[in-house]
Amino acid sequence: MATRFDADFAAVAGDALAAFGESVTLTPPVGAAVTVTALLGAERTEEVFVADGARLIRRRTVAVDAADAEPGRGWLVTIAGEAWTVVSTEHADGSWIRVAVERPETTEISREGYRRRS
Amino acid sequence: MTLATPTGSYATARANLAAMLAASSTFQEWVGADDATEAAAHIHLSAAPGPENGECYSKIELDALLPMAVVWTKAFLTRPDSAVGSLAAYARGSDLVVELVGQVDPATETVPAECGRLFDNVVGGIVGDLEASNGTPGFLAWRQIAIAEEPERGPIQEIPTRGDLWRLQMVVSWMGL
Repeated sequence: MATRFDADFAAVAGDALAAFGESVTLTPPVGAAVTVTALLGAERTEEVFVADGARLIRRRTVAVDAADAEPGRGWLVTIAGEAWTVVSTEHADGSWIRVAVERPETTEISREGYRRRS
Repeated sequence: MTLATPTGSYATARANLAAMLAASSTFQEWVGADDATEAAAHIHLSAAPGPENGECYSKIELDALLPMAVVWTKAFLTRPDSAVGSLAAYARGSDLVVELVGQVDPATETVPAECGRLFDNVVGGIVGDLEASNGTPGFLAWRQIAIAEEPERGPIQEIPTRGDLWRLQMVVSWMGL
């Protein structure tokens, strides 16, 4: 159920996008890519060790106007030339969609257990 | 960088298996090498060279590294040779792991059976080559090759940065060099 805040925020969403948004390209698993203005969340990183080495997992959120696109799991979001994968939808109220995106980057290719985990 | 000469059975066994793998015609074809010397550049002991920026590989760096093999020692043992009956001789052996990492052919990425078949053919060809060269001087005389699991395909969210990859481990066991 939409709250008063949702209604108020929807009324100023266009201004928020214009002031704080950045241009990103959304690419669905099937179909054409679209370029929209999105609100980008702060980036967080985590180092993880996997069977064949280590990864730096970069995570952030991307919020878009649902009228522009409705991204979901499996979509790609290209931000400043870097492709990020949508892993989940955090919020969708009909007017805004906020998704969590990840970009795993390889820091090491090795046998399992090559480095002791601290 | 030229590596130090391997000494002792622990290091020599791994070096001999790496040489054996580099000589495999199937491995050479898979990595796009013309000969064993070129193929050896796609074989790494324990870990591949790190990224140039010291943090994360670029896609260009990964594309240059792959396909490749990582060779490592899973277990090593030595014991007095009971056939000799004294401490004058020792029987040694180890389980060496060959980890193959290669890209999925983009033309077959949506057909799991076909992209799997292509990688299976590489694996089977390498095993056949290792059988044909088993015991050749300078190579390993192995007694068993075991593949415990099917090839593993990488996660979808790694495709943009790492590519769509296959990975497989085979364990090569030897006793005596």
